Amino acid sequence: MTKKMDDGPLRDELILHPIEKRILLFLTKSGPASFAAIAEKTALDEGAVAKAAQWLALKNLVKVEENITDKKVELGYEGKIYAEKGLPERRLVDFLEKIGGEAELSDIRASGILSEDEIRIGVIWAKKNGWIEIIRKGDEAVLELKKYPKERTEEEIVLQLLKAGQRSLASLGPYASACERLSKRPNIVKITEEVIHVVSPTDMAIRMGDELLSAIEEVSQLTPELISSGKWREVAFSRYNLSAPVKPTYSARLHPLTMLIDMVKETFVEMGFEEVRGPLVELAFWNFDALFQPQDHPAREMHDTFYLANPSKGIPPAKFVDSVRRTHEDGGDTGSKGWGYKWSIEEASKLVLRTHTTATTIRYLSEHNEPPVRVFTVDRVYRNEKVDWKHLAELHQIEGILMDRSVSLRHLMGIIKEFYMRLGISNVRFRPSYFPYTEPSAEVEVLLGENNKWTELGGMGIFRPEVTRPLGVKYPVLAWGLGLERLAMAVFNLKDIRELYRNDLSWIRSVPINFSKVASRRRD
Amino acid sequence: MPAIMLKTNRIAEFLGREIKTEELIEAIRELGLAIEEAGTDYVKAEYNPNRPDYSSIAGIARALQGILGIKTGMPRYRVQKSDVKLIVDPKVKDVRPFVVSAIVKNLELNDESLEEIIAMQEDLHWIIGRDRRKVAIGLHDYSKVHPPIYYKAMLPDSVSFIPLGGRNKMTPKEILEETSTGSKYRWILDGKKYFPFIIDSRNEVLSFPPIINSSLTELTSRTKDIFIDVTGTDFKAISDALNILVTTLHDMGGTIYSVDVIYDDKHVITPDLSSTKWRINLKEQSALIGIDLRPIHALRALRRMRLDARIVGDEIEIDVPAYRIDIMHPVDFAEEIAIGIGYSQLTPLIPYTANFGKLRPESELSRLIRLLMIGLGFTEAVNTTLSNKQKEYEFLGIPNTGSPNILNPASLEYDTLRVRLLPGLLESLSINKHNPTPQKFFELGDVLQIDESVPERFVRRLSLCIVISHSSASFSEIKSIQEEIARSLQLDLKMIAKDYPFMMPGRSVALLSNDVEAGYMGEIHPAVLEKFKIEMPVTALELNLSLLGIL
Repeated sequence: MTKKMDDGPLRDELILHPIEKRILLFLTKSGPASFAAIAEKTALDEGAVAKAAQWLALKNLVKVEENITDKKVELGYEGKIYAEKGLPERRLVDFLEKIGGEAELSDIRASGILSEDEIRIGVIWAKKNGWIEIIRKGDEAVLELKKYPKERTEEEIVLQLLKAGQRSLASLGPYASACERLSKRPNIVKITEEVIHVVSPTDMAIRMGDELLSAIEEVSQLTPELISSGKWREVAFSRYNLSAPVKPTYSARLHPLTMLIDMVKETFVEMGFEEVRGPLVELAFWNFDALFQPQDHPAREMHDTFYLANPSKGIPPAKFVDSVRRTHEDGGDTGSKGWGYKWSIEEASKLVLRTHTTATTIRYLSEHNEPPVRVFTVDRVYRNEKVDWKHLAELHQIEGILMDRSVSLRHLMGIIKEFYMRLGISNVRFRPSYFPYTEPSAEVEVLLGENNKWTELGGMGIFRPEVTRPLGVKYPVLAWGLGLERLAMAVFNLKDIRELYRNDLSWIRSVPINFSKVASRRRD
Repeated sequence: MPAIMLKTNRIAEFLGREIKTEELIEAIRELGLAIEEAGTDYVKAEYNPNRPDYSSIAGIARALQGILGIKTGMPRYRVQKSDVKLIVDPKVKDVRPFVVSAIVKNLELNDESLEEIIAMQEDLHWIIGRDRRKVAIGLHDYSKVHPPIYYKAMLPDSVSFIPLGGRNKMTPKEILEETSTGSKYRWILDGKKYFPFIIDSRNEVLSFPPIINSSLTELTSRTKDIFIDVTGTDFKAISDALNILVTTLHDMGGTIYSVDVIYDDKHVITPDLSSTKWRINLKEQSALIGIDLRPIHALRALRRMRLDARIVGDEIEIDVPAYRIDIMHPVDFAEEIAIGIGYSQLTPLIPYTANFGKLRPESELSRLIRLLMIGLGFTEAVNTTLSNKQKEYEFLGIPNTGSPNILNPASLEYDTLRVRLLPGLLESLSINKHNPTPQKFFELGDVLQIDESVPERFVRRLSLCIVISHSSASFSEIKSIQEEIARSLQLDLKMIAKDYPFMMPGRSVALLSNDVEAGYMGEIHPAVLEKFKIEMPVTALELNLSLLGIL
């Protein structure tokens, strides 16, 4: 590659952008000049001159030098006041001279010619200049005039010279150093440096002389015309400026929650589970009663569950009403003691926004009571809760059941562990827990998040006989209901759970599409 | 879940040996409590509501003794007979029909243990008592009580007494109206002609259940003997609460004495702390856990759970103490055994059941449509199906009729369910006002619809909505996108001019599929944009996918 370029017809130094060419011709004719001067003479923009000069310097055709020759100076905020009233030290000694060469601080304060700040500044500088001395007499500090400056000081002259406005430091001539001394004091004078770039042609450029005129011109964009006319053979293309900033491009995105849900669904499909779907508005019968939740259970209270206004009631399935009723009342044929209360069909007919997706899997089970059953759903559930940074009223659950002849709690642990492993989370543990519809029950905890904390992600268990028998199910049913949003918060590193449903473009765009790698990187 | 504060040194007192906080955390986790917070010398834990016997440190320590191997098997409680009688007035049947009672003597209380007792009482009120409706507990300094004791129903203004925390005598009616406890619980007595009272032989009111006790018998750290009344609507529930209370007070050093409760039709001696016998088939229960358990190991595990267990023929016989009110079915012992062994000792297994995985058609179609929308440059939005009437109807200028409204909204933010996706997307545009335009969003999600033909009366319908917002958003732009969506999904959509309250007149259309209106498209009315605080033109399209015959 390199060889070919060296041998090729185009020598680097001979490929010039039109702007570069114009600048070089000007410089070889008129000698070194600043960016500003070149811009003025060649009718180019100063920025363009600067850019082209950098390129020419790379081609060794010019030298660019930075000269900080020109310093501009002007009065600062305090300086303007002092130029009118005099420096504080001057006003101090003038006062001392007037009242007889000696005064207490309180006298000076009383005179009102200097503010409190100015007294402090004046005393410091008058003392530094050797004009006064401070003598303690009892409790009072007495200022004594040592040497009264009759002539104006250099600093004072500078203030007067600058009264007319900004000028160059050099133009102050012998007073320049006094000006620099003043610049050390706050807000009196402001010195600004101006950097001048001087561009001069290199010896090589001067030697080349007219050869430059015949240099090939550079183009920055290949066009259809250049291709079809074949002219691309005669031009040179400029090299990329790698540091030039570009306008950002944003892709259209799937919502991060959808990406996570798809990932979860895929995982269960991979593990041999079939997706099911159930109603969002659900009969209390399926949401609670079929799951052996007694009708006075606190979860059924108005402040926990959303009830529908109109219609507010539906029809529980006649096929199961009686067996469920008996199970609640005295255990029925399930071998249970039951809850021992009078079950009401009114209560079971109420319509609720389902509080868990178990309502959907239990419905499925009621229609499929022959083994094996392996189904899952990832869907919305509702809680009549006040929304804040860690609570939502509507969220998703990852739900599933497995029914077969001889499955156990250990198999359930295996399914859940495998599921999280596939999401890149390898630390999963289980703790005994309680749900009215499962026994044994467990809470699932995984190691998650930035600070690697054990986080409760949901519950699981084996459906109680009080749940399965009334539906005609004879074999153990492993069941789980895991939280999606809590997982999402950890995976997307969110502090506020509400962000998930705000659709803020800046957030959606900030989530990497391969976020699952983020979870797996935390594996150890 | 109810919470309890466990001071490590206090637990150690009940355990009868020292324990480190780390060991405590591990052990209570094994029991199934959730650690909420832990310090160097305390653990704040949450317990499951099926175990109200965990409402005291003594109760948790009892279980810990088992799991830590300090004491195993069922704890025994002796009930001494007393000649104290509690006579029940038949009139209480219509108010609060049941009462049980006990006396616990020889306690040595201090401020700390007194506080534990009160906290336990509150938890029991909530968990078993359903906020005092089902069960209410009265605890009294027995030295102030003069038996026999009466449980009576009387007219609300027929007595007066100084309520706990009060200064002056008040009638029950005044208590309900003027005290904070009264106003909090008076709903339980709503519509009752008579109110229930516990009264002693000197006619002093001890309790006005389920509202408040009399200050006369208030417990203090100097109280030695406690008289307990538990009233309620369910005999089993009040007995459960009493049993948990007295066994805990016993573990705190007290001696339990019975009370004769005399109803007009029966006579019961409470508390009844006799254990319950269960028989289980070990094979069945160990299959549920997934281990082949030798009987001796099962017995050990059950004893670690503070149960008595022995082998009887092919079965295991188990004695369950009276404070364990959670056992309903033989299956409950599977969990007892599993906890007794330790969940952490159970190695996960992969089930060999084979099945083929599959997605629902809605999920399959949704994936394809999402791909299409991304290809068209639209970013996906996800909004909640919970919405509010203002956003859903008022802002769009459409009437709220026959909609899925919530009966008991906790806030005005969510008082209905969405019937279209558009309001949610307009809100998304409003939230993104500060981000650069053009902005193009789509949402693919469910809306709710009434359908009297299904038992649950409402159905979810998959809908697709898109919005485009920039300074020159135009009809031709969105029409072109609609045509590409139709081409890609093989839809035969016809456009007819139609005005909608939320679109600009003459600048919107209905989309028909087989002559059924399946959607709308057009330019959002500036009055609607103003309500959503959007300052850019917006065009929108919404299609009800369930009406298109593609699902």
